[in-house]
Amino acid sequence: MRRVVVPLAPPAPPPPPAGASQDVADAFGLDLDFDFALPIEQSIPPQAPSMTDERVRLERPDPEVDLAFESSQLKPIEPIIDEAAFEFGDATEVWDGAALDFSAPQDDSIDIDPMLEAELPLPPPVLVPTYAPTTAAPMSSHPPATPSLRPSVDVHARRQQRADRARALIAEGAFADALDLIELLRASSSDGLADQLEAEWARAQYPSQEAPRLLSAEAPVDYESELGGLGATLSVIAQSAVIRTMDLDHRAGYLLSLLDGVSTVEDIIDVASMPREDTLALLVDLKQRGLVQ
Amino acid sequence: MEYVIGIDLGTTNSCVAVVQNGVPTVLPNRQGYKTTPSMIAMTETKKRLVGHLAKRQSITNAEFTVYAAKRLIGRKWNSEPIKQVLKSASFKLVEGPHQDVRIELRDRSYAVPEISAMVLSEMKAIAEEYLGQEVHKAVITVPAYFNDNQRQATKDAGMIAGLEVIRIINEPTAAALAYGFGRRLDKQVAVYDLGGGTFDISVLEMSSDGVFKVISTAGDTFLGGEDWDTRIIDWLVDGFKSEHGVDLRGDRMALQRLKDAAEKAKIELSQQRETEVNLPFIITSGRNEALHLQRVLTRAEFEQLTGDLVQRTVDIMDQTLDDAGIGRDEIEDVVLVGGMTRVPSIERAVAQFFGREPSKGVHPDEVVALGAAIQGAALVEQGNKMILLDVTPHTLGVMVAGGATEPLIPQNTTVPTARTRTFTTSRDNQTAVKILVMQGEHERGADNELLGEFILDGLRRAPAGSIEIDVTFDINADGIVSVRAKDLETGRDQSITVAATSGLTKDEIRSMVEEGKRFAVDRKAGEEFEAKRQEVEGLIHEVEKMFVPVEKVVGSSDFGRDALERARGVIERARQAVSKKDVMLLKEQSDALSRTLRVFKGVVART
Repeated sequence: MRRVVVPLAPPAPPPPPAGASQDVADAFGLDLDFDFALPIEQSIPPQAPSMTDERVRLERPDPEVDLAFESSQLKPIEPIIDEAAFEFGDATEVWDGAALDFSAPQDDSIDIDPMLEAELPLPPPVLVPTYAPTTAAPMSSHPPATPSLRPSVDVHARRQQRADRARALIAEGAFADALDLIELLRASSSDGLADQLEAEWARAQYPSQEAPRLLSAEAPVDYESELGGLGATLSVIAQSAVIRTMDLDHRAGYLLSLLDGVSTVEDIIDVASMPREDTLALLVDLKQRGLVQ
Repeated sequence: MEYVIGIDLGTTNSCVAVVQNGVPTVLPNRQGYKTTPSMIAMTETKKRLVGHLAKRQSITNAEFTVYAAKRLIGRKWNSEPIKQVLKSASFKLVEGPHQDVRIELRDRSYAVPEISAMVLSEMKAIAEEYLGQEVHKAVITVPAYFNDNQRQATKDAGMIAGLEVIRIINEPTAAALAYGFGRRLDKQVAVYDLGGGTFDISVLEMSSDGVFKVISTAGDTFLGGEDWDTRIIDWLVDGFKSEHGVDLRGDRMALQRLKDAAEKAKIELSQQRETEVNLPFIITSGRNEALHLQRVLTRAEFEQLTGDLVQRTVDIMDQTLDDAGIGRDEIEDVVLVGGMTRVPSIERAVAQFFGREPSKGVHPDEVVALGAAIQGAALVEQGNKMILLDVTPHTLGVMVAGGATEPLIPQNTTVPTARTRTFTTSRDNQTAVKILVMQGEHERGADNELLGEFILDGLRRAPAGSIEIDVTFDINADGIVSVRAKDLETGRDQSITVAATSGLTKDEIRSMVEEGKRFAVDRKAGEEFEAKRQEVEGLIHEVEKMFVPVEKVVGSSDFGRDALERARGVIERARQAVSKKDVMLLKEQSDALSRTLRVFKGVVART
């Protein structure tokens, strides 16, 4: 049996948590004469608290700075293990705390995609009374009887702009963003534009020519693993309306009808009355489309 | 404690119950349902499917899915009911070596009791899983009209399934038992039983001293919930055809979905006024275009589609009461049995017919199994005074000169019973008489079923009609019929015990019992392996997910790399154990995987 002897860096108060190293030894058949704890680079701990402070100071005004900061400052916390440089106890905990402090404000400062922000539902149009410019004509003794109304935004044009933007995103392959936009359109009106766009979205994301490729049994895909094993159970998670927009065939429709959240993948194979590989490939396809889980 | 389970072995669905601490309880199957379809299928890989799984592929794998085996059990190959089944069965029926019926599935033929035994094994397994112990004894219910052969075949099925069938009881009797459980009633009740495939109407007399007696019973073995489903399917198919010009009957997958959807719609219409049938991608058209089926069915339309079926049950009820000479007003309560009785139009029809609302105190799907469980508990409990009187399902008699049947014990006679009648010789100098024991209500002997025959010889030569012979029929509490013929002049006698036969020899039954045992052992091992396999696959998945974070932490050291390599080895060995189907090895690898996962989690938790 191979013995690993690792020199420990003194001092190491408080004592490391017991048991982990023995578990390692049990699991991997090793004889250890040290206890196993998280190793980190010695240079990190002193910097950690200041990282937190710095982060708080930097947040909000410039998201770019945040990103730059993250990428540069986070690099050291992926430690390169050095068997001679294990640290235990306080150092690790201090660093962990710093990491936690670091992450908290980060959540607050999540950037809103400028594009999406621009596409948030619009406030209701404001009605602005306008009067004849004072310089254009001599002051009348009476103001106009009826003030003229001027809509601040052309709603239809704006919806069309959004639809165009959604189509552009679909063309770019930015499906998630496109779907967000489509949902915004759906929320603001039920004129059918959102449905139409969703169908375009579905057609673009799941082109029909993909189906034969996915059904091929020759592809070296481990379908069973993809599905979480033969004992996994699958449920339909997509709404019926969404499923209808998909480019599926009757076999996929039949399989969807068999998924009840109770039957296992193996059960489905047994009852599908299709070749096993076809059934598995179709199930993987449905899962990848986000219709089942 | 030894439990006796009660099994309602239905044509379409079966149900199992047990009395626990004095409370009759229906036991749910693994899917959580309290009834299990009485269906068996053999997949292409020769895997046996029972219950819901078999039902879900019953149309797509129709040739190898057996349903309604109860219509076949204990029947002779050349009998009328078998001829009727042959017209519509999707699976292959062949004649067995003893004029019995066999079913061909893949490359093997099965006797009907074997098929029923598969359903009974499933019910036994459900009970054992629920009770956490092995079950050996059962009471099984059969329709009141089942003859001795059918009852014996059901007993044989129980034996093949590893059950000692301590009693066969009539379904309406079981229903009445559950209805009267815990109450002392003196009543004449009607049991309206509309199941998935059959309809029965029975009249029973219950007395407060615990005696239950079937007064009359009749029905239609080809009328049930499936007929209601078929009407919905036809409506959907016709509607789809007129809309799209495509006939869904030609596509098995579409038909399977239609059948499931029709049953679901029927159930929903018992609660709601309308239901939507929504089957996306039901078929791909000739133009390679996926078509969807979406239709709304209202309760009113459904009732219009099925009104004649409801009327058929009413007509049978009417005829049965007339035949038994019982007035509708003599029925003091009506017990509804079978899921179909939840359909509002049926409930209305029954209420209208009897002039009273049916009893709501018992669950229509469960009442028969509960009654069987109550009877089972009563049979093994000391001091239980409940008496259950069964009746002869059919008339028993002997065939006489001219080919007619002379009845001795009429239909619906309470057993045990004994009747004697004197006969005489039909020819001059006749030295022997042939006693043909017949069962059935037809006057013409040939139309009835021959149960057995024997010869009484040594008669004195004498003119026709001068020798008197007493023929005695005796039926004991277990329904065993003994027939004795005695020459009154000489005292010479001859007798026969009519042993009902399922169509299987003792050797065949013994061999099937052994095979059933082997299957049960394999099944248990398979389930154990399956449970372990799922556990191991889950662990592998978990461990694999942790490789990346663990590698980040310890992957740069020799020790870490070595440890990760060893973890991969554990996974590899676990996968090998899965492919070898080695349960012991799988257990070892499951432990190793658990330890690995624990360590990995420990490592990652400290980052």
